[in-house]
Amino acid sequence: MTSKSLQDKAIGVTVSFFRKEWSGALLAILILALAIELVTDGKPFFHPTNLMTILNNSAAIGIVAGGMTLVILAAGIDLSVGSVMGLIAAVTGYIVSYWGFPPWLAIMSGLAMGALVGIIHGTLVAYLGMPAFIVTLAGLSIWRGTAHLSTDARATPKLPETFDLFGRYNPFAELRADYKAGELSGFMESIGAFVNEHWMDFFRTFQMSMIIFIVFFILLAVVVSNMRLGRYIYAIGSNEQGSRQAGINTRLYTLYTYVICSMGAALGAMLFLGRAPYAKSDYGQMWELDAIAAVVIGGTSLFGGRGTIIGTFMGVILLKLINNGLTLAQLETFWQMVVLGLIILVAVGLDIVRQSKSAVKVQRMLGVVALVLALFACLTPGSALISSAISLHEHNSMVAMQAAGLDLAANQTARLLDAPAVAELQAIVSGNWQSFASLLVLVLGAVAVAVTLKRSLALILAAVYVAAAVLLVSMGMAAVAPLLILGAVVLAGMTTVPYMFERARTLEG
Amino acid sequence: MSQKVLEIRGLTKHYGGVHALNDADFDLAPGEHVAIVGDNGAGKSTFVRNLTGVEQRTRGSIKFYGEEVNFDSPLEARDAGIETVYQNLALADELDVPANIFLGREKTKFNLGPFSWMDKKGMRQESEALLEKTGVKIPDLSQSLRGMSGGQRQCVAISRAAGWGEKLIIMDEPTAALGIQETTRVENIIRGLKDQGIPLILISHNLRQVFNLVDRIIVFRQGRIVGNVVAAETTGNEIVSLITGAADQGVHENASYI
Repeated sequence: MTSKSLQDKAIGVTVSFFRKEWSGALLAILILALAIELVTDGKPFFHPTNLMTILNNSAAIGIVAGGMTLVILAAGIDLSVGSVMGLIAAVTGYIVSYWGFPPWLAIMSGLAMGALVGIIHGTLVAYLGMPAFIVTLAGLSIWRGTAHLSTDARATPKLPETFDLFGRYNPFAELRADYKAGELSGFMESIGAFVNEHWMDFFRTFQMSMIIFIVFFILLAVVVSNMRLGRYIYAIGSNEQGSRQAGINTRLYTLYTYVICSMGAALGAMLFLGRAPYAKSDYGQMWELDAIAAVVIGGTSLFGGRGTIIGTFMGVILLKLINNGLTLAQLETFWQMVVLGLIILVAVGLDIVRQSKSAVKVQRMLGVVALVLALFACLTPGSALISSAISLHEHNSMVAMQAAGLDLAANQTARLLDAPAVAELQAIVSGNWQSFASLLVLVLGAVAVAVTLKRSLALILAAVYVAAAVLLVSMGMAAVAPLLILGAVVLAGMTTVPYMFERARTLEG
Repeated sequence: MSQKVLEIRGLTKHYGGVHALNDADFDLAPGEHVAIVGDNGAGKSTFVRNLTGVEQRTRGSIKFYGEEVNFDSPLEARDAGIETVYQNLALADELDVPANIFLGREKTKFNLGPFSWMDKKGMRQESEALLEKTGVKIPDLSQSLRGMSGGQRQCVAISRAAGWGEKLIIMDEPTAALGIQETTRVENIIRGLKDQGIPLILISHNLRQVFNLVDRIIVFRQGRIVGNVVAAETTGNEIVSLITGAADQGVHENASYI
């Protein structure tokens, strides 16, 4: 075994890469980033300012997801983070604006409130044995209600500048201002000159959001991998009863995870306030979903015990990229919600399959991934097609009802369209149905491959995916093409799985 | 003579009207390996549970190395030096071998409660030494236990007990779920404990294994200790008769006692 062949080495590297929980997320980030780079003209995607903008925009949700990771690693769940974030953002802004609290005192109160909420959740879950799902589901409702009640659901005036320190404040801004005013000398002057020169292409987006985000994740990763807390969280997540037998105070450590999670929500609230003009109690709606999605996409198992902080970091970035990508693919927000849900399902499915040692299961999962990719591709022509078709149908129904002599209510007549609108919708339908139908064929093909696992079929379908991608680019739906190319790669890769498994097994001996 | 490891007198446990354990007297000499056998519901597990503080006894006294003890929880028993290898092994499958061996007792570089910094390198080195001492071979210590065989996991659990428990180790059906080779490996570890003079209480259904491994056999039936025999001076048939309470009927010589 001293001189391994190059191929064996490659297989070894591939296998150990895919064993990493975050491998899927990293691949998806790279592919999506490349795709976005390809379809957007003008500003390049891989530009420091653009990358930093993505980090700045992901910071608040990222910190919430970071805290959530610990809860999920310990085989718990926290559905309340969105409400807790909203409550703390609202109350912190409220006491600054109307109670005359100095900003720092308000911020500290907000963080303390996060800790208190976490202690309540953690006590109910760990010491009273209530299911985490129920406790935090109740919390989701209670804390949102509390937020609206305590602030009258009204927005505050503009917040003091102290809050910018958690968000849009740029540590180099003053330096640059001083430099421009000519107040610097010597060494500082040369730094100022450097900052000023690279302002537009680097320092402009160097903001506190991003810095706090990164530092928070480094600290969290250190705690999780090197400190007792992290070790016990993994132990509780993989075998709670066994951990108790081994002498771990499982209740206390479970409580800690909820406290950290709620404090993460509180810190996330501060970061959000740092970029928002005012505080309001409806912030953070559906953030629980985004946070859980980021954790799960990052490869952390909802069954506990398995996952990484870096994975969640990638999950957060991936989530932002998916949002960006879907916007570029001309999908409405509502469709993005549908897609997000599907992605969570796929991520959890991948997690189950990753644990399996059966090549067939892995192949089947890859088939499903190809299927979902084709389904996503369907959405671009499909969403326009479906909504246009429905509008036309409603228009025709209303016309028919009018013809039958019925009185229409105001919101029914609103469904009636004028001739140009009808023509436009008809054009959308006729323009999109072929591409939609042909993409649907790809979906069906992927179903066939996932069921039969035939090598030849998979390779043929991969070729069809590529052909469809080329066709779509020529039809002006370039954003969809990367999905299909990825699908083709997945399908082709699927055929090599049994061989890889066999080789990997012999290599490990 | 040297101090006895265990001196149990009149250990009794009643669950309401059910007399699960009655007046059990039990002694364990230093370095001695004793097996506890008996049919299901005979009181073996009740005996061990009351010894290790999982349950609180109704009556009776337990002396551990000459000192009267009354464990409120298994953790107290463990802190006193009684290591139990549970049937469920109490391992965290997602963690690696050193993490499991030191689970709940991590070596730290400095202590700050949950934020104590773990001495991973030290734990790894000690784990290696410990596994070598118990004769356990595991190819890659940094792999999580999930991918390991039942035998390897059992070996990790036993090594953990052996590493921490110099005073007394209790094993509950350590080979029940294992194949032949893995069973042999575990039995070798148990022989190693004997050589090191670590006392052991072994609960087992496998009489052949019991005869192979221990010095003395304690038989439980219907909540009482009905037999306390030296392994070298008895036969499988006698033990089976004691277990079933059918001493006068005899047992077929080919009866399989498992």
